[in-house]
Amino acid sequence: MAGGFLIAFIISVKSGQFDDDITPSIRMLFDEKDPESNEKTI
Amino acid sequence: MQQTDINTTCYHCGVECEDDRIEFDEKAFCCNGCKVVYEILSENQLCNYYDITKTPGVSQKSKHKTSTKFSILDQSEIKSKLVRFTNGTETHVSFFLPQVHCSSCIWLLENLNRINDGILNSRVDFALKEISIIFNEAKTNLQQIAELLASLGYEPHLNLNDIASKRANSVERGLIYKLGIAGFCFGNVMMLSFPEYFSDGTVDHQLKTIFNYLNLGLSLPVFFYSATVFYKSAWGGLKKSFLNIDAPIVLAILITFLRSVYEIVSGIGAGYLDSMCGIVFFMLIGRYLQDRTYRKLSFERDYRSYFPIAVTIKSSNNEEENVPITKLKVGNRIIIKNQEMIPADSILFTGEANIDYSFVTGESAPVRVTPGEIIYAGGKQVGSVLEMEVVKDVSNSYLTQLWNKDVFNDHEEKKQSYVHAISRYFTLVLFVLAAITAIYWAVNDSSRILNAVSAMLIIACPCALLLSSTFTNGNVLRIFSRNGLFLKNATVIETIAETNTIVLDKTGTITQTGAMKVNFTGAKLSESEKQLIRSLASQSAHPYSNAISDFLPKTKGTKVINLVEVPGYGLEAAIDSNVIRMGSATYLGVDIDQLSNAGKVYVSINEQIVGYFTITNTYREGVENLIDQLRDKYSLALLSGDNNAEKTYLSGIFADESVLNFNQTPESKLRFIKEYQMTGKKVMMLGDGLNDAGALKQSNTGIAISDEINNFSPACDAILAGNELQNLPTFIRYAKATKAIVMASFMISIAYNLIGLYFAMQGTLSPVIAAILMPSSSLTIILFTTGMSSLVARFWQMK
Repeated sequence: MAGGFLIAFIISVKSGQFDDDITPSIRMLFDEKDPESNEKTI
Repeated sequence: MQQTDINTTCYHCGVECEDDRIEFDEKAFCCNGCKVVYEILSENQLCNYYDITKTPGVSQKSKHKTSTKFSILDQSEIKSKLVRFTNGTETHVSFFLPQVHCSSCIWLLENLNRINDGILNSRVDFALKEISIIFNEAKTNLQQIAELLASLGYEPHLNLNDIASKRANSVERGLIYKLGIAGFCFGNVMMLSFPEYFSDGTVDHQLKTIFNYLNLGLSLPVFFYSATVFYKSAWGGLKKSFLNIDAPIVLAILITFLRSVYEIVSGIGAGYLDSMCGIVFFMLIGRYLQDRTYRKLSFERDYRSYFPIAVTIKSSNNEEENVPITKLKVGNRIIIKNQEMIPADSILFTGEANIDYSFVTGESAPVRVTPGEIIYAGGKQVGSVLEMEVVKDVSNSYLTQLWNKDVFNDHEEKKQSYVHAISRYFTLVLFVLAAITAIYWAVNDSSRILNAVSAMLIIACPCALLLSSTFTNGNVLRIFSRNGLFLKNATVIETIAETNTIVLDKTGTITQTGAMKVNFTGAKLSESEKQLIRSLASQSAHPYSNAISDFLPKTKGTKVINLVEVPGYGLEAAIDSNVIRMGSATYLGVDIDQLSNAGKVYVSINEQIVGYFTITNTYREGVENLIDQLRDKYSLALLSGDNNAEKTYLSGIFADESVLNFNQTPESKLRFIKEYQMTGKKVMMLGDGLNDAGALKQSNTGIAISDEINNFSPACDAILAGNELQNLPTFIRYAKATKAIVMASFMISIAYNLIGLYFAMQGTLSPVIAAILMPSSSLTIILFTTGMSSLVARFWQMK
């Protein structure tokens, strides 16, 4: 089990999760609206 | 309240709209540039941009058409430097966008694929202000992408440095791996060691052996991988015959590991593997905190970061062509437009040159150059188009020569921290104690020599010293950065603390960039006269004219006819049947002593002199107070590339013995610092522009003052936000306190070491005692150092 966490950690570093620790925190706040539905609401 | 704002401020950028406001789509815009950006966004249903943050745009008003030559981006030579990866269809590229500042920027830039369907994906790194774009080469190209970004107000910043060298991946993933693995192994080894420590003999012997071997297996990655950071550093020091703090640490790690392996394999004990993994883990945390550099900042800029990547040249058959600056040769005819930088020393052929050298010399007023004269690289043209011939290579120009000087190539041994010196004493004392112990046991019980001596070296590892300094430095760097002072590395804290002489630059350092104070002396002006003068002043791009037109009340544009501008002297025109002239004393024929004339603009209406404007720099808030605080404790000096117009004011606030030098060249600034250092002074230099680059590099601590931290600053040891300049005395005091905190924490760690040594010298150090002493001393040190440094910062009311 512990080994599983270690593998998860190595994969997460490899995929770049530790590269940028600011932008994702802002990105998650955006509402995903596609252009069409956006127009309908207006 | 918001309701009224809508009509007076620009919907795009939030700048106050003046009379020339543009209305479009029931929204107000301050300029055409902002409107165009809005149009593009609304056509592509990207108006969500304006919902996330109010007025998220960057004002397009003052944007000069810099006509960046994006067409050269697709030349294979440049392209190969910019593109990070390509497989023919999918291409990855990154651009630096200094304009990125809010969440709307991120949202818009990550939705670029809605505007250009050749863009497959775009990602913004907010801290780096960088966009990584993946695009389809069949559908679009670099030029189109760069033009799209520029049209949205995010013009990519491309400079010679980007193409001269490929940037290394900025992220230190290696250290994160090492830290994670050390933490994982430490936790598990600790857990598997518990039965050994706390068993009352009921645990099966075979089970213990299995646990011991598991521990050994788990500590292998720590010993052979995580700890390599220390091996490299120690070896690097030894090669230069310098014993740094990592050398005794490596020795301790090595002995701990070997003794543990010996104990486990021969079945006599459990070894000290948990202690070894623990110290490696804690020391790596300390190192990570201390070395976490500010990714977005660059401390190593040279002139290449400032120069554009391309220039327009005129070929022999009179055709204009954009070429990369790296290909510029002596003898090329180049075309320089308004606001463009001259990339190499050149002789002016045609055009009215009005060169702004503020970047090179710090002198604020543009210099007039007539055809046949040399224009130096680094100057910016203000005004019409120029044609000139290159007389020197880019790298041999007057400005760039500064970088060929010794200070920039001389990779002298960096100052060594006092931590290493202490660790050497510490190691020496330890070896003496070990020798005494060895002799004692040789006489009394020779079978215990090896046990006692190795236990001593294990327990007295100077890792606590390393922890003290790395954790304190890490926290201090963090506190400094919160207060607007960004240090290149932890050694700079020490050089700041040693400062006894402070040298200041004037323009842009103690004065506010771009802000000028205007005073009028002469007859009282009527409202209509003010209008006339403003209408004339607004016709010129000269900084003095801009300052005057900002100073006078806003008016409706009046028709200006017969405008004549003599760059560097003045201008005249007929407005409402009055003839207005303004400019230097010589231009208006005023007979006044030349010396007192700097910074004065005379005005005449219908051949009648009405008075003159005095234009002075605006000093940063709190400068007088700052100098007042500093002048008692440090010897101060001012080196300015500007004229001495403000000498009287400055000598009033500086101490009598302070040196005030004006009209300084970049080289004379460098020489000045060098001479100071010869007399044993520890010099801190504060400067901004490229003209200070040599002096910043030469000084013991070179601090670059910057109003826009993320953008441009010359090579330096630290970057200080302009509005935090007044806190400099507190910063120096805090740097001094840092050393006291580290020393106090050394004392604590030595106390722990003495307890450990007491057991070790008797040869009775059990793994349990080691396992208790090691983490508790580390934790005490971590808590003490971070706690104390935060407390002191709060006490001195730092942020």
